[in-house]
Amino acid sequence: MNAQFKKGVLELIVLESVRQKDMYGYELVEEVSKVVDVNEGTIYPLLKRLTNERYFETYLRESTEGPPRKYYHLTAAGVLYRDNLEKEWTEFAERVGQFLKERKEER
Amino acid sequence: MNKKEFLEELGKKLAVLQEDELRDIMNEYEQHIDMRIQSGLSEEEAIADFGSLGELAAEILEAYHVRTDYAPGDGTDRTDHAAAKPGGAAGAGRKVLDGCRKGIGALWSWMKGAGLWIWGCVVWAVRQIGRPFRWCGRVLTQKRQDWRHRTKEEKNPPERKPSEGSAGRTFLTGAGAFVGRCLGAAFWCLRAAWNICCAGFAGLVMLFGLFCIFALGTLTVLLIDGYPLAGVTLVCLGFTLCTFSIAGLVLTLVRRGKKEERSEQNV
Repeated sequence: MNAQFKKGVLELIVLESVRQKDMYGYELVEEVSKVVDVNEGTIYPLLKRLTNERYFETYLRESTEGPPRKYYHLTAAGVLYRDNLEKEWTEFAERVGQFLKERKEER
Repeated sequence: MNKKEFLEELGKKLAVLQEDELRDIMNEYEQHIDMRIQSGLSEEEAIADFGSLGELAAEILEAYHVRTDYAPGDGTDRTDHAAAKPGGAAGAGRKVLDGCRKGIGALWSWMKGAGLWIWGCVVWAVRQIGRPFRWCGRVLTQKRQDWRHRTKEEKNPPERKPSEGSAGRTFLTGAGAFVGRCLGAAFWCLRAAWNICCAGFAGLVMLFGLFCIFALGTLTVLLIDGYPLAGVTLVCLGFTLCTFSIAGLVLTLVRRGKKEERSEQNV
């Protein structure tokens, strides 16, 4: 899949994953990898950016194995942002689909 | 490349970041690699999944809004920039900070002065506004005391001189005392009704005020979370202050009534 395509929707997929339940970094990377094949390293900077923009809150929780894990939680602002992003995405996908369909019919 | 080398290399490339931020992001990557190893991959494989280290570092810096062409450059050039920039930035920052502190100090002292002046004006105005009320109160108590004295005087003399006894006069004084008592009772009822009204009104206003505080708290939390509620929150704050000042005013009115009553009882 085109790398540029991925980059655009990665944010939406991450936000949606965390909306369901709070997740820690690695868990989230695995969840996202199920949907799009993405370089694992790139998700952490994205999480950082979304946290800096207050769409995520983080907290530490002990785990049975290894050091405490940093969990990400979607804030109210994050929910608003996600809804907005979803709307944009659906609209965008619809428009592109419509355009491709029209061209196919002309042919 | 093993885990330690990878982390060291990444740390060098992200040297522009603040120490705790750097530690934070390095922790994430370290944990990720550990978990990959736990799930059965070798250290090399886990690290290879990250792709090019340079690209990764660039992407991380981009997330911090750092110019990415700084990081992937050669080491010497970057360290020069890194060394030079924080110093300059810190100097400028300190200057701005000092300026801010001075400005805030001046503003604070000015506000203090202005506040004292305004407070003085308010006290004076309240005194002026209160003057007619106090005058009315004084006149009223004076009148009532006069009434009592008169009724007492009128009550007592007839007892002393019943022998002189003019029936008309005793009847008149009796009627006067009766009217005086009635008036006293009426006054008392009026004041009781007034106090009850005041207390009830104050209670209602305070209830509303409590609700306002609750709403204010909720709105503030939402506002901090990023909802666009600044206007509503300000309105709520205004309401809160307003209700409490009204409640305070009404309560002072109630106490005034009680005081008068007490002083009269003492008299």
